[in-house]
Amino acid sequence: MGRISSLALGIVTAVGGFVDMGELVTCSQAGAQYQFSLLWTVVVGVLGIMVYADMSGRVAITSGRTLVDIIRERLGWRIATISLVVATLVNVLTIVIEISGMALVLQIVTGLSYIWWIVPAGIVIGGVLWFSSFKLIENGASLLGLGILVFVVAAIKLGPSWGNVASQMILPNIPSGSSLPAYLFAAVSLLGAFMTPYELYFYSSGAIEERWTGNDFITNRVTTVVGFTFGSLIVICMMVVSAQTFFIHGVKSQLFASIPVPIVASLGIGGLAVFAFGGLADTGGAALESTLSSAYTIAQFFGWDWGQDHNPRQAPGFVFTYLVALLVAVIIALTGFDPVKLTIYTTALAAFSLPFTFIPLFIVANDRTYMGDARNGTLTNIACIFFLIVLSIVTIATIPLFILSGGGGG
Amino acid sequence: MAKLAGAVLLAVLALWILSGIRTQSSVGTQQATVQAQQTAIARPAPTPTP
Amino acid sequence: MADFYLFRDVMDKGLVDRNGDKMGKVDELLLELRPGELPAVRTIVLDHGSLLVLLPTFLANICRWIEERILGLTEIEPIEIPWERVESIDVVVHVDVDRQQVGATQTEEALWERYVSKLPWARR
Repeated sequence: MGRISSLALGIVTAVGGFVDMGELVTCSQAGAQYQFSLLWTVVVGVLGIMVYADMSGRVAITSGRTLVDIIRERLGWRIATISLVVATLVNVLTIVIEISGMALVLQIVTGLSYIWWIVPAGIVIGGVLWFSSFKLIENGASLLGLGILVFVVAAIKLGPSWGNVASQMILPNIPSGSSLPAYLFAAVSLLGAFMTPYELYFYSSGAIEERWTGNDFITNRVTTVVGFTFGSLIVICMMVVSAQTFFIHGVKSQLFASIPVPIVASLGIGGLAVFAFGGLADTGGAALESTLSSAYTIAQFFGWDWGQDHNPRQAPGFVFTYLVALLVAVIIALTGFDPVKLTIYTTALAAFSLPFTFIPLFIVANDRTYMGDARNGTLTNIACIFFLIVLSIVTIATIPLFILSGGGGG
Repeated sequence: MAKLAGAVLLAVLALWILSGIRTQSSVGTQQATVQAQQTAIARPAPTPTP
Repeated sequence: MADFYLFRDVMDKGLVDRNGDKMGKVDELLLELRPGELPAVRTIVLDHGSLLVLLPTFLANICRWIEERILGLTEIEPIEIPWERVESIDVVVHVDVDRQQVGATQTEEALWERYVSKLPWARR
């Protein structure tokens, strides 16, 4: 495939794959409850994931080592184990919320309770993983997920004051009467939704599955920068449409079914159909990626063969792990614990766990023996340290905020 | 003010992409695995069997 | 002759066999001290047991339970690879052995035999 078209595909994949259940829930909740005052999290979150995803790709290209290997090699077995346990917990919970997301979209479309859709969704995800190649999964799900762009169309139609939107991204105007801990906890969830760990593990393993070489530096850089920039536009629009539809009327609390209401209001049933298609593909794609991430991290930790380019005979440990992860996730989803609440808790947990992944990655990206000339430049390091400070504050503050806000204030 | 910040941000991102081109040209087309400096390992002299 | 660092270059590094296949990580190194001589690295050891003792007892017991019940492996012996087999060290440690022959793939083979091979279309 030509350089340009492969690059274009990469960008499209990043855009289409950016949104998942985490964004759907947290962004619509944020818009409804806080109007435009949480848009700044998009700026911080997307820039953060851009810097770290690019780093993750660079490290994979130059060293051929995955994130998991690097954590063990650089920081030792004990830290690697803690990192693995935390990452696995977040990964499995992410599978739960993504499968629930698929089921909830199907509930909107069919009227049948989402619980009935959990097992079929799980079977589809398992089947796709069992039979499909990496490329097909990554490209297929993301391309189908472009339907989520319908939020951009709806945002334009709903015509907010874009000047207000833009200025609040820098200087948020917190609505009066809001509890500060609840506002900050919502910010934590948003940051966790934008910078979810599974994305980094998936991206780093994906770079190796696709056999990236030094030629792919630019692909890596452009895909992350351009792809995530466009992706951020989508989530900004998600917050905006929710604000325009719900905040104005003082409707604060969000069900999953409320999420497409702004789209129906502005674009009718056709818009709903596009949302359903894109939403299903996005949550399905995220379910695939988070399941793969669970298997990548565990198989890489134990030194097993791994990868979708292997058939089950060649990588039995890897395959066993993703099947078990999927099974566990389906069982948890079937307990009926409110998926919207679980999404908010999971994204907060993801934010909490980010330093465990980011710090080792940052250390390795500066290691001359691994990286050679491709190691971090000064500006990159400044950016990384800035985000690490922000994330460390987030990690320390998550539990107190959770308690102070009365469990998220949702 | 927001427009200015937005323009600065876009400029920074564009420069970041361009710096990637510079890195790529200096790193070249090395293959993914085995790029770090290779450390030659001295084999210990065969120990005399007792 | 070249110097290398044990922790930076060897410990916890991935191992790769003579066919280029992965075979776990360096868990432990056996050094030998002979009177009047400097310590020498004798053996690379793959021994998750040595790692388990670092965990709290109940976790180690859970791991052992998993090994016995789920994998059906009662005694996993440590795998020892003489240092003479090390060919080179870069981002991984290359050793001149065959991973199946040294028993490095026991867990994966157990998972295949007991579970994965029984699924439909597993052997395509």
